[in-house]
Amino acid sequence: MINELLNKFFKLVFIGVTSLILFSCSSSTTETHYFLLMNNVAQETNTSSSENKQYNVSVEIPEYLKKPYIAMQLGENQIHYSLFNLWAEPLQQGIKKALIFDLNQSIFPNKELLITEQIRVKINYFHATENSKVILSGYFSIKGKLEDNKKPFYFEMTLEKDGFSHSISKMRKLIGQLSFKISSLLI
Amino acid sequence: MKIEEFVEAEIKAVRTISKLWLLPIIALLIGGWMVYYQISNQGSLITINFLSAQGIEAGKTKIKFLNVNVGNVKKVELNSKGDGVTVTARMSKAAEKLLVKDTQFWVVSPKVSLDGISGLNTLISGVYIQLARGVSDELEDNYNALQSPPVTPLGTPGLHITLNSDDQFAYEKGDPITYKGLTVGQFEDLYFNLEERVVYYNAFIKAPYHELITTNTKFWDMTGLNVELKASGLSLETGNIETLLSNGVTFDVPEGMKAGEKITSRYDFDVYPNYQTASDQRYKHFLEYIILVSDTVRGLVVGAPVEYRGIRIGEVTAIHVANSDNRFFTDDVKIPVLIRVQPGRVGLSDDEDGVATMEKQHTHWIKNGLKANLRTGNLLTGSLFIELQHYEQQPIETIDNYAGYAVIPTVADQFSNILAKVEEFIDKLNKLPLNETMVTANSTLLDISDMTSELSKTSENVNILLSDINAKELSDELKTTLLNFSQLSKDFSAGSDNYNEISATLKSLSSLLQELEPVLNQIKHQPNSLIFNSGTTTTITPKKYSENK
Repeated sequence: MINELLNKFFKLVFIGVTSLILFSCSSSTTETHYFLLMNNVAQETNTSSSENKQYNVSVEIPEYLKKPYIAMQLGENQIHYSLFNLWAEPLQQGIKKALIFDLNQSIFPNKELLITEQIRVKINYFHATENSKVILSGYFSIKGKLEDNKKPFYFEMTLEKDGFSHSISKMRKLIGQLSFKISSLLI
Repeated sequence: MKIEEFVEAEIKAVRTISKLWLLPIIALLIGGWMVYYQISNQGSLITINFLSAQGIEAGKTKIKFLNVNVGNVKKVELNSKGDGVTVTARMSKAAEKLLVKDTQFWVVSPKVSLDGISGLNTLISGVYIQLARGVSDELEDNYNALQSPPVTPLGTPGLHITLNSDDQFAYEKGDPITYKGLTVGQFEDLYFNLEERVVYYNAFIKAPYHELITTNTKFWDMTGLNVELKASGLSLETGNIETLLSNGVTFDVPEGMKAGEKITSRYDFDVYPNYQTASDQRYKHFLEYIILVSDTVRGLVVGAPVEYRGIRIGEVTAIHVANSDNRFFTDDVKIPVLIRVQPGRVGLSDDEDGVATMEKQHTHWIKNGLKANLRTGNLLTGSLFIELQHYEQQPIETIDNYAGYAVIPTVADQFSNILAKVEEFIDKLNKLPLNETMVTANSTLLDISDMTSELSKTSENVNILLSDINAKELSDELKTTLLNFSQLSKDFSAGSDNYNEISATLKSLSSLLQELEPVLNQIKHQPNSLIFNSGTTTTITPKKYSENK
């Protein structure tokens, strides 16, 4: 008698679990996208190593940017993480690579001096907003022979297209503006 | 011829003197002439009084002047009182002019002294009486002989002076007076005044050195070797060889002092113990102050210098000046020391004006911090001197007075302060319970000793234990274990493949957890969302800029 009851119980459980699995399989799935900040991959690779100088750059990002999800500002102080749009590599590394690349591409004659200096960049905000803008703000300092004062910076650009891809491209350009400002100090 | 032919003589009377009488007459005449000559040419008879007639013989002893016999002793007899001898002497005619009132006589006999050996010839010839001619015009025939030859024969060119001394000098007749090492005079005789307690010495300075004596000349003792150990140090002073063996004085005008007027007749001088004391006498005017000392005055003597910032300005005149004023005896007995400061020493005039200026200056200084303290001048002898120095203080209105003298405030000597602190430290050290500490330390040391011996036994036991163990096998196992551990740590050290794999795995896990984080959040908020669809999933993406917004 007990055995029969147990057998019935186990059957019911099996059916229930199978049903759940079937129900769950009917849920829709969303595709995940991965992005890189550094968009000059081919150019960086093709440039000879002798032209690429190793700048001593250190980049510090806030905690909210250390997550793999791309952040976006909603309203005044709400950050929305896009669960399906992620950074392919840590954002800190991407910013550093982009910055070094742009410094190497700098047209200022005294950029060589930056090689001996340590460039510290601390980023406070680096994201897109629901106002169709991307912002980059923080401060940087150059130690060594040059003065060691912190230089604040704030850059923003207006989005011209929808989507994370365009906003990330704009964010890349903001990095370019930052490197321009850094190298312009040596004039 | 026959006997009957004798003829009888015819006697006739002679009517003339015989020629034979010529001889005795002539002899008589000659004799008479000789007597007359003798009487007419003999000198006067004089008497000379001696204390003793030792060596004098009547008829033998001569009287000499310039080594020429001028007289003979005729008679030697006791005087009427019986306390001396009267010698009667016949002088030669030529010597009569020498017999004046101040002519001197003395017996010359062999004499050995520091001056030399004299009168040796009298050993053979016998003593004689020496005559020294006087300068008087009055004739005399009775003389008192000198006990010894005069130091300065009468008529010797020079200067007679009198030297006064109330100190412990003992000069004798004949002691030298030197000037820059030369003997230029001698002591003649002395006289002790009982009432004044002063010894007066008659001295003679021979020409031409007598011209060096002026009113500012100072005499000081130059007896033997003068050794002084005082605040300023050790000083050694001596005259010539003569003064080294006997007593003597020397003289000079102190350095920096004017020569003064020359002296041409007998003058009184004081004899000082040394040059410094003699030199200090040049200052006639002075100011006196009292210093009340709380410290010991042992080592402080009268005459000790008083200095102002290293310059001597005076000296200590008296120590422990007695006074009935006992104002200062309430706390401790302060010893009053009288000092004298001389304006002449500091460039002020040595007169009343200088004294007034100095007094005014010192009054101002005392009111504004001038103080005195006893300083040690010589650590070897402990001699002290007084130093005046300025100290910071609030100005005072009035200056204290003691026994009619202004009081200069005192401060303790730095050396005394140091000694006082050292004494205090030693007292504290004595009060420390060193005995108990030593006992405790000893017992502790004993305990440590016991413990050490036990440790020693323990280590011996361990050694025995270790020796029992199969040490070789243990060391091999340990070695193998260490090698394995080393290999393991090498395999997992930074840069190794295993380390890199672990790092990559950890990174993957970290990124996976980050990706699962929103899922876990969703399950946490909506547990059934794992099975049931929670509705449409809204995806927020950045939008392009539109002016209609």
